[in-house]
Amino acid sequence: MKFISYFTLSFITTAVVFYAQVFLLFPVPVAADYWVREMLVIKRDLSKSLGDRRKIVVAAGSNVLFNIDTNQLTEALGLPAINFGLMAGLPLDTILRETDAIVRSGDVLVLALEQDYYCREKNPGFNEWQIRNAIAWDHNYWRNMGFLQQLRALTDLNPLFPIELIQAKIGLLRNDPILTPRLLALDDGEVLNKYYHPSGPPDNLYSIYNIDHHGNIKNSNETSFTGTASFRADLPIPICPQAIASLGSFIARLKSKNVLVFFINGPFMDLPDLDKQKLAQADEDFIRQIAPLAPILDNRQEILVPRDSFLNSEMHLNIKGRDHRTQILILRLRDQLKLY
Amino acid sequence: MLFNSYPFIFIFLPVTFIGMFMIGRLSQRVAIWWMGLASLIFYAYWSAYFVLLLLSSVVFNYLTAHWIRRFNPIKQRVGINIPLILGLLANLGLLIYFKYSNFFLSNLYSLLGMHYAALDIILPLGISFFTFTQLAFLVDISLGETTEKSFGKYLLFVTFFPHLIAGPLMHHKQMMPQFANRENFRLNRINISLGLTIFTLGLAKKIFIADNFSHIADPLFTAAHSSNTFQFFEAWAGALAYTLQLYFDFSAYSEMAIGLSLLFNIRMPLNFNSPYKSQSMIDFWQRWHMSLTKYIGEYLYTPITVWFMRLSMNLSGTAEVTYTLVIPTLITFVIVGLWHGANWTFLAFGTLHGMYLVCNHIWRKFRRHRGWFKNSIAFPIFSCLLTYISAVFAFVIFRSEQMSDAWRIQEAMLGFNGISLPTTLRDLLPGLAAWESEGKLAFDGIFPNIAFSMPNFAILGLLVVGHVIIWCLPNIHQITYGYLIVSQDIALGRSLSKKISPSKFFATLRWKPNAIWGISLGILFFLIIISMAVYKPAPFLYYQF
Repeated sequence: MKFISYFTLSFITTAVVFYAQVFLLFPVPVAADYWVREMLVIKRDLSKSLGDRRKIVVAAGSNVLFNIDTNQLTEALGLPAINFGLMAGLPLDTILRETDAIVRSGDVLVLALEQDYYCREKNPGFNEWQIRNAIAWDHNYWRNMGFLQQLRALTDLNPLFPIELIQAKIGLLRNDPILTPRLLALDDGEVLNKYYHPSGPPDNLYSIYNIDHHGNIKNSNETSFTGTASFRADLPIPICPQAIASLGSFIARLKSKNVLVFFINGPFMDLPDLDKQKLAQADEDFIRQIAPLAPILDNRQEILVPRDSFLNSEMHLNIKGRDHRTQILILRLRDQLKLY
Repeated sequence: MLFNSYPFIFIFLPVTFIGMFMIGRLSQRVAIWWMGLASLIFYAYWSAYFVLLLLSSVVFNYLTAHWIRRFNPIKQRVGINIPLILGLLANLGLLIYFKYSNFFLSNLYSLLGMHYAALDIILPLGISFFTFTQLAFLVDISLGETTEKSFGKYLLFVTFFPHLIAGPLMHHKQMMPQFANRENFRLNRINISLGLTIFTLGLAKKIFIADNFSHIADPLFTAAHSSNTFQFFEAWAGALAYTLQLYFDFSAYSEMAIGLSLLFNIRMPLNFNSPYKSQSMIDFWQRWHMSLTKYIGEYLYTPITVWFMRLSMNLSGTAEVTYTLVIPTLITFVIVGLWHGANWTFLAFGTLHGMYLVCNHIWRKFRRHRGWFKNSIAFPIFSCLLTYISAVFAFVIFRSEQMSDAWRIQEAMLGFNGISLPTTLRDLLPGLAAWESEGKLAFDGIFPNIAFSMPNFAILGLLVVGHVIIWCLPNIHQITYGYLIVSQDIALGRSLSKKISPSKFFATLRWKPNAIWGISLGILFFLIIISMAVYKPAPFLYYQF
């Protein structure tokens, strides 16, 4: 009986210690994508700098960051436009909350959500990226989760994560230089200072130095995507009730603030074996479910992009693809803005 | 339902366990039905529709057994043969329909130069296992070796969830007496401790070891199937990784099955005994998938050999060897190959192993006759390596989707596609410049063509760790020696224990039901549970057979 008692006791103790650590040590600057936070701080500031002027905001994950050029939008439509493309790993709630915080009465909001945002509850687990980043820098998201949700999220953590937590906590106590950039990323003043007074050229694509003053990514002229496209234009996008509910309440709130809201499609690759009939059907299904929330400005057929217009993933266009995508948006938005 | 899934570990297993021992205190018969029902639910989790097929198969075989039992096994042989042959044909027919019809028909059509549209047939999970289990039962009942009449016990014998999907193949003599033992319906602390230990270690082996090798093996076999080129080290890394993955995966499954059974006081036969430590192919098959080898030996190889021995009564020399060794071995192993699946690769895998065994038997006789390598220290090491490499080459065929994929990999393993070394060695090995200019050697890195999902040092590290485990560490039966083996001696006969010896070099690793083992395994179990959330559970490789 000894063995069974010890087995059970050590299992429970390990579980308690494992989970308690996260609660006791939070917040901890563990390794995470701090550039996402830095980008958020910068984009909030770029938006703030426009004051109460009417503006266009194009928001979603990184597909907007790469696929829409708000400089061209600003020039063509005569309204300042902000690229509020963040990172598709962020939960939909975070994207909507951050967008809500920057739009003002009279603004135009274009949502270009990545396809899987419409049904993330199909995979109800949190991904490790979200939890790691929440613990590292998205502290409000973590705090607003509620205890049971936090426990559920913790079950998706890597077993080695507690070791990282302890290492980071010890690092904090010992002023470990490895933590310095992470801590600086948590300081809004430092981030903005770095952005407005860069000490050198951008060191990589995903650097805050590589974002222009309309929030667009720079230097994205390569063509390196060679993988297969998992988001095919002739396949329907699964749309789940939870996403519809979140988007519905978000859009209702914005409409009450007199904000014009539109949806646009994410990019689709122009594949030789696309079934045009199925494509039209998938487009219709999407319109039927999403249009009641807000108008959709484009259709799949017109935003099919050839492979050589993609950058480093099937969601990111290079400059050639971005120009094409932006011109379609300008045409559609111009029509809409005439109406309102 | 997968053993390595949350619904199984946190819902199915506790409910079945508590139910079994609560009911078992009141009625042994009802507890047997409870376990039978639980096993059907376990199967239904995969497909409710195919539970009907499983149940129909069980009922059909039970009724056939009842029919056979009406005849006297000695005096009424002819009468017995009617239900027996009908039963065998029905079982084999079911297996052939689900497993082989597309294979046979597509090859037949191809021979006739006609197009074949494949039938939409889903292979029921575990069909090879539950069909073979029942075939043996029918044969034994026709020989008067069992008189079991209880349908509840028969249902549980076939469907008992730990062995239902991927074995070990159980003989009714091993299982039925255990269902009849009243003591087995009471909680047994040692069995629970041992069962938890073996289950946890098996689960750890699956999650932490086996699944990782797929990240090295899969890219190679995908590249081979896509006709991509690859070189010597890439081919060997992938082939070795698959050889390790298959062993760790299947032995993990078997150990989990043994551990789970022990929780219910049922002892299962050993299925693996460090097969890669074998010093010959004969030895290999006595250590690899042992329950299948025992089954094949008893129900296939022995009858075929006896039949051919009768034919070769007046023969001698090469002809005698051909009749008594070569033909029976090849026939048996072709069937063993095809048992794994309907593909030419499985047939080739079986044939190759048949040839290995024939060569091994002939060499063994020759060596004994000549008295070679009697006291050699190097010979056992050489034999072990040769056996292992032979197994690796055969498993390349086993894993490949087509024979042409296997050839492609084996060619690369033999160096026909050239060898690529790390770039840094170019300056260190100037003498090899001539080979480089001939195109036989390159300095483009050791894995220049295949994009593995892990860095080179991790690939090499994982392969080294895998080989250290298979060659230097004791297996689960050696670790639990004194507990598992002793109990198995009683239940399963002493022959098995002769193949296992306690670990001499790792005496400290010997399991005991004490606090240290309890605490360590409790922690390990928690780490496994949370790892399962991150590394989503992969099905066991033998589920497809």
